[in-house]
Amino acid sequence: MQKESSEIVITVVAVTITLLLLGALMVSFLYLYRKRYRRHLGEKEQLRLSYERELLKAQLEIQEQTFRNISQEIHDNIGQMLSLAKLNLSTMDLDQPVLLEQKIGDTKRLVGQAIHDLRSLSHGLNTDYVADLGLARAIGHELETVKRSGGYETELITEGTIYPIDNQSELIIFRITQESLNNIVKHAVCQRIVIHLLYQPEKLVVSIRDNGKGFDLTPLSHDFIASFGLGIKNMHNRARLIGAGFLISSTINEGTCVTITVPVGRMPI
Amino acid sequence: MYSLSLINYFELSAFLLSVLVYTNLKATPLRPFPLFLGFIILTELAAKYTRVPLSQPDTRLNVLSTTVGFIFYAYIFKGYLRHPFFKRMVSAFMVVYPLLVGVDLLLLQGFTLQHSYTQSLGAVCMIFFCCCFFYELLLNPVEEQLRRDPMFWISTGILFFYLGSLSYNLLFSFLAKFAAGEGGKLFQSINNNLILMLYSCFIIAFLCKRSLRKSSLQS
Repeated sequence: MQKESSEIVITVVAVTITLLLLGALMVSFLYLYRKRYRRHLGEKEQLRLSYERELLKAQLEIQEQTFRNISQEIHDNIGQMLSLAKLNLSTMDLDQPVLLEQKIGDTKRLVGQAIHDLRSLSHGLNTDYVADLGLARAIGHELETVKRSGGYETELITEGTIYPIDNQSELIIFRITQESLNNIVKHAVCQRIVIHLLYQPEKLVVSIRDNGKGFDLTPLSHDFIASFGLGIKNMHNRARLIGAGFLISSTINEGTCVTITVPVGRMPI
Repeated sequence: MYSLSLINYFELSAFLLSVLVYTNLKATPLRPFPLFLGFIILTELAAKYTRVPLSQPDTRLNVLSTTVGFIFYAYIFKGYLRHPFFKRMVSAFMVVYPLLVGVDLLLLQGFTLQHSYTQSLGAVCMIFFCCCFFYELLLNPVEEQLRRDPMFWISTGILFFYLGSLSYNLLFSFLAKFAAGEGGKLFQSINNNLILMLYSCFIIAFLCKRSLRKSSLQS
C-alpha cells in the first residue's frame, strides 16, 4: 500500500514537472520568436533608413550637379551670347546703316538664341518636365538640344510598347542620361550619339552610345583615382537606388556605351 | 503563532507595488489588480487566523478566493485578448464558472471539501486562455520588447501556476485518500513554490509598468 502510494506521488510529480517543462518550452519559444522578430524589424528599419540616406545623398548630388550645370551653362553659353549682344549694341554706328542693320540682325539672333537656351535649360531642370512629357520624349528633347548645339548627329531608337514607370525612377534615368550626354559633349569627341530605349515586359533597357575616342575603364576599379570615376560612380549609385543595373563599356577610338537596365514592377528594397 | 509566511510577504509586496504603480495601471485592464491582491491578502490572513482556533483550514474561504481568482484572471484576459471568439469564450467562462462552482458545492463535493473538480476545470481554462494570449502575441506585429510587457509576465505566472497544480488538482480526491501523508506535504511544497513563482511574476509585471513610466518621462 505504502509502495503504491509512493508510486502515485512520483507519477503525479513527474506529470507536474513535465507540464511545467512544457510551459517553460512554450514561453521560451514565444520569447525567442519575438526577439528574432524584433531583430528582423530592426534590420528592416535600418535598411529603410540606409535607403533613405542614399536617396537623400543622391538627391543632393543631383542638386549639386544641377547647380554646376546651370553655372557652366550661364557662364559659357548664355553669358557669352549676351556679352556679344551687348558688344554689338555698344558698337552700333548710326552713320553706317548697312553695318547697323547687320549688327541689329546679329543681336536679335544672339538674344533669340539666349532665350532658347534659357528655355532649354529651364526645361531640363524642371523635375515635372520628365513626368509631364514622359521619359522617351524628354530624352528625345535632350538629344535635340545636343544636336542643335552643332557638330553631332543624334538618333533616338524606341523599341517595344512605351509604358510609364514611376516618376522617381523616370527622373533618375533621365538624370543619368543627361549626365552621360554631358560627358559625351565634354570628353567623347564624337560625331554620332544614339540612345536606344528597349521596352520589354519585364525590364526597360536604356543605352547611350557614342562613336567617340572612348577611354580606359581600368582606373575605375581603383579607388585611389577617386576624381576620375566620380561622375560614373554617381550614375552607378543612382541606378542602384531604383534597383537598376548600370553598365559602362568603352573601346579606345571606337566609343563608349552606357547601359541602364530597369526591372519593371519591382521597387528597390 | 500568527507570523506571516514567505508567501504572505510576496503577496504583500505584489499588493504594495500594484498600489504604487496604480496610476500606470489605471488605463489598462489591470486596473482592479490592487483590489484583487488586497482581497487575496485579506482572505489568506482570515484563513490563517481562523485555522488556528478551528485546527483545520476553512475551505469556504479557499473556494471563495480561488473562484474570485479565476473570474479575475478571466476578466484580465478578456481585456487583453483581441480575437472576438476568444473574448466570447472568456465571457462565457466568467458567467458559467460561478454557476458550476455552485453546482459542485451544492450537489457534488459540498462545502467541507476542496472544490477540486471546478478548480481543475478553472485551471484548464486558464491554461487555455494563456495559450490564446501567447498565440496572439506570436502574431502581434507590434514592435515591443516582450520582457517589458506586464501581461506577458502575468500570463507566464498564471500558466506555470495552473500547469503545476493541474495534475494534483485533477487527482485531489484520490490523493487525499491514498497519499495524504508525505505526498500531501510534497504537493503542499510544490504548491507553495508555484504561488511564489506566480507572485514573483506579478511583481515583475508591476516593475515593468514602473520602468515604462520612467522611460516615458525620459523621452
